[in-house]
Formats: sequence, structure tokens, C-alpha cells
Amino acid sequence: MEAPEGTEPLVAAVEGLLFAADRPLSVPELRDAIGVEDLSERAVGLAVGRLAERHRDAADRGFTLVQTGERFQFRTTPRVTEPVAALTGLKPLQLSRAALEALAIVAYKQPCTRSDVERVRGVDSGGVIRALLDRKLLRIAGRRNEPGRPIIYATSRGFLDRFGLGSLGDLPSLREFTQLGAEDLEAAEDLLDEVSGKQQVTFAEYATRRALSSLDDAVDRRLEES
Amino acid sequence: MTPFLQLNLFEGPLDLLLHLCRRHELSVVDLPIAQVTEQFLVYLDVMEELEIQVAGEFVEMAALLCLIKSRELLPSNDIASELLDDGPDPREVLIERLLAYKQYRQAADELSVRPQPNRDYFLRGQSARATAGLQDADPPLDVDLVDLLSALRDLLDRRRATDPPHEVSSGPRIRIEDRMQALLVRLARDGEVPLEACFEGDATRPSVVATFLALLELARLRVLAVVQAGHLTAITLMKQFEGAPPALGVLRGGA
Repeated sequence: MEAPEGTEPLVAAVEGLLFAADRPLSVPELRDAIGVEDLSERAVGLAVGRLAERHRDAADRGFTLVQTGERFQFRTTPRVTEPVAALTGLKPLQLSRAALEALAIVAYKQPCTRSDVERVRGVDSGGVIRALLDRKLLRIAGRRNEPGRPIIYATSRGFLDRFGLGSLGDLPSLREFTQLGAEDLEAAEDLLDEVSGKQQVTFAEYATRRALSSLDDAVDRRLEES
Repeated sequence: MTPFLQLNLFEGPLDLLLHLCRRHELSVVDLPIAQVTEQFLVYLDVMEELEIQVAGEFVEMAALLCLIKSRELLPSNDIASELLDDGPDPREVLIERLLAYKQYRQAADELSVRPQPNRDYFLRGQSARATAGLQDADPPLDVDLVDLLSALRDLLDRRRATDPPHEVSSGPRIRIEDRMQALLVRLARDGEVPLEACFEGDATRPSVVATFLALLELARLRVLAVVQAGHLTAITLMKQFEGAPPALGVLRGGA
């Protein structure tokens, strides 16, 4: 590559590399790829910062620069999600609520066993854990040295990638519900709305919601009668 | 009777309890046991009437709720407390479990609203890789091997009646190449084919085996992918080429 001098050519080099790459790149990787002697990581870091500024105003752009952990990558902006989905035919991986629960428990408690997960959820979780292993979101991290030598599970690299986490340290801290005020509860409700807004409603989910509300009604009627 | 459609209304008894709290705006921390127990039992009753399968965990929880409720009804004198002093207060234990469950439920919700690939954003190069069937980690055989073999066994078993195994087959020789060609033509037309449907024309065991070998060979050549949504679900063949079916000679030469 032509030796970039000054900031502008360096920004252009970084932009080109990130455009062409099919994986997120770190500052050291970018510096090595540019291949100029004595080029400092700081200079490359500044160029990345300049580039990010240029792509920051995502409202009128179709793609933006995103940092995950120590790595940078271009991704499309929300405004173009629909047409891009139609063009590529790519579909998101849908996770059931049971799977998300089990995944969250392992993520925060890892390494942990199947019975650790079941103790929190209060139901058998062998099936969901197997499904999460199949989808490479969980991995087997060994066996615990206790009677029965149960298998212990941990989250995988794929888990971090999928949820945009640089490392497990980027997971938000768990909320303590004993100390929640009214504001937090409202925030939790908002979150719930956001979840239902984002999830594509499948037939089974729709049927479940309908069935749940008719179950609620049936219970109310029964309680009124008695 | 097996229900026509099985719905998982609740992810277990803790989920049902949280549902009750949310619906009636009850505080989890000061869980009103009497009210919750009454509601919980009616839910189980109605669910049973609607033939919704009620797992053992629900019954266990109902028993626990009744136990806590009855303990609360006892007068709080010395004899009672002596009788009951046998470890941690089950009400406190239950509330702690509920709070912990709620905590992870919230964590799960927070995970699911994080921007996710192919839902909230797209990355470069994904689409090309998907159509080429060359996603780095995903081999063309994205199935459970046991499920694939048991599907083959089912197919063979179904033919056993019409095809006695001891009869020496003297029919025309079956060429695997022909089967591969036929599969390619069908895939080019339909895009994806359920595993079962590939074997519709195969009346005999050698014929089934030939088709099976043909599909394994095509998977190896990466012109079809054998995929399965999850354990014990249907297996499907997906086309991994564009336009007209590729010529076998070209595929083999290139491989």
C-alpha cells in the first residue's frame, strides 16, 4: 500500500481496510495491514476516531462504524434494515424465551452446570441447553469436581459476537430488584415493550398470547363465581 | 388425549407466579401468600380443564404455597415457633428464588434488545456467503447425524414390506450419478426439498440407498446443504447453486 502521510490518507486507508474486511479489525491489525514503518497505534487510533466521527451521523447514512470491544466494523443502519433483509434473504436467529433465560443465566453465572440453570428457572433445562450448544452460543467448559462430575457450561465467542459484546466484562450488571423504585419498574416495563416490539411475532407466540389472555379471563370468572 | 397444538404458556411455576404479580400489581418482596396461593390453584385447575399439560413442577409449587399459607395461619406463640423452627423460612426462600428468577428474566430481555445481526443490522459479505453455502462454521451437513441415520432407517423400514430383504435384486443397475442428476434438477426447480420427498420414487432398498449416497455426495460437493432446524425436527435439502443445475463433471473436476 502507498505510504499514507498525514491524517487524511491514513483515514482513507483505515476506511478502505474496514470496507473490504469481512470481520471486525483492531487497531493493531489495521496498523499491520497498512504496513508503514514506525506507524504508531496512536496515529491509527486517531484515524479510526476521525472516521467514526465522519460516519457518526447515522440518520442520513445507510451504514455506520461500530466498535465492539477493541474491534471496528461497518454495519448497516436501522433505516435500511428492511430492504437489506429483502435483498440478502438473511434471517435473524430466533431464540425462544426459555433459551434466552438459560443463556442469560449461564452468561452471568458461568461456568455453571445444568442444575444451576434449573435452580433459577425452576424447570428442566436440558433441552434448551442442548439447543444453545447446537447454535454455538454455549460451549462445554469441562466438568465440575463434585459427585456425578456434572458438565459445566460457558458462553462462546459466538455469543459475544451475536450480542455485540467485546468481552464478558461488557455485560450490563444484574439489577437488584429488592432496591427498585417506581422509576426502575417503569423502565423495566418499557424494556418489555421494546422486547415485544423487536421480536417478530410467530404464529405460536400469537397463539400463546391469545391463549394466555383467555386463561386469565377464565381464572377471573372462576374467582368471581366462588 | 394429546393436544393438537402444544403451547408453553408458562416457563414453569416461577413464571406463573411472576405473571400473577404483574397482573395484579403485587409486590414480589412482600408476596401476599394467601392471595397468590388461591390464584395459583385456580390457574392450575383451569389449565387442567383446558387440557394444558401441567408439569410436576407446578404441582410441587402449589404444595409449597399451601405449606407456607398454613404456616402463616398458625398462632405465633412459643410452641408454634418451636415446631416450625426447622431451617430457613420457606416464604423467604421462595421470595428470594422469585427475585433471582426475575433478575435473570430481565437480563434475558436486555440481551434480546441488544442490536443483533440480520435483525437490527447487517454486515458486509454475509449474503454472498449464505448463497454459496460456505459459512465458515457451518458445514453442508448441518444436521444431527443420529437424526439423519434414523430418517434413513425409517425410509428403509417402510420399504421392507414391499421388498423382502432375501430376494436377490436383479433389476436394472442403479447409477448414483443418475440420482445426483435427478436431485439437482429437482433442487433447481424447488429450491428446497424435504428429505422424505427425495425418496418418493424409490420403491426398493438399493434404490433408497443410492439416493441417500447421491445426496451425501452432493453435500460433499457443496451444491446442496442438509439442514435441520433443531433436534428431532424435519430434515430439509437446500439448494446451494444459482440458476441451472451444474454439470456433474464440472463439479467433480473442480472438487
